[in-house]
Amino acid sequence: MAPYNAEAAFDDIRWLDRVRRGDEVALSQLVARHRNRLIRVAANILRDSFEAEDVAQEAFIRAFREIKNLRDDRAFAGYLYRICVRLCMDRLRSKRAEPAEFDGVVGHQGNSVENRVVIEKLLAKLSDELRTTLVLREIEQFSYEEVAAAMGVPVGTVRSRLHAARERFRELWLLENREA
Amino acid sequence: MFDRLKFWRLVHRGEERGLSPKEVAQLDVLREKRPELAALEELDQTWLAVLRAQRLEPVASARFEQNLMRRLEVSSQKEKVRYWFPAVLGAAITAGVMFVIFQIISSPVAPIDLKNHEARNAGTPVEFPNYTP
Repeated sequence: MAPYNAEAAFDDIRWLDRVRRGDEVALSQLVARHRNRLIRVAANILRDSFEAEDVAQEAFIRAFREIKNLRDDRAFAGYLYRICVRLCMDRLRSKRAEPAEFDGVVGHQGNSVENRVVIEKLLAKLSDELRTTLVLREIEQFSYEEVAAAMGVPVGTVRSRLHAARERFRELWLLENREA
Repeated sequence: MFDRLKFWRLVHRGEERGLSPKEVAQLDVLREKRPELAALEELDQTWLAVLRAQRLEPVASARFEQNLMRRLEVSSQKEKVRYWFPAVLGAAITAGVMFVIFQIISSPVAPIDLKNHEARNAGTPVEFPNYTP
């Protein structure tokens, strides 16, 4: 995760140790460090800021509940993002059953609000795996290794999914512009 | 077909970890040789720019931490209940069984009137000894 460095990982290790001993201040520090980034990742995958906050809280709860099972404390951030991405994909899957509401926009003229609606409409047409890979790499600017860690797949799978996501998005983009 | 594969491999490798000068030159040659692939690459840059511009930047609400702490507390309580429930249930069942057994053992037993018992079994009226004051 881009702004995450060795010093931050060291702080995480110290705080995790204190969290295990029931220190609420250390828990607050950990939450404060990761909350905004976690919410942003979830918001960009789900395209919903309110739901993102709920998902981020759920990710923290699960991470702290399973903290005893974490073998390497340096991996806490990756572990947290992995839980968050998994929760987002679960929510996307459950949303698939609900009908999408994009009927109000026909084509787009390129202004910000219309662009946003078009992007959301096209992202909704990608599979959950392709969508999440594309968002983590292209919007969140994760490295290939970070995407792989967050999604729990090999780097090669990230490469092929990203290629497929771009091809599919390009097709949809062309179709959308032709209709416009 | 070969050019196409090589072109996209170089484009993606460039995005992933950068290209060597030799690879950059190869890519330039392919762009000139296959303008339709170069056009697709340009199109990708267009939609990727729009996609990146639509990045959401929410920040945590003021009550985020408070809500999280409350949810953590509830989760911890639930976990405690889940942990202790089998033990408490087992103890309650054992106590119930023990109580029933104790009740059965400790209930007073009426002495059997052998004579009446035999008479009832024989179906004959009970004969009382003559009473003479």
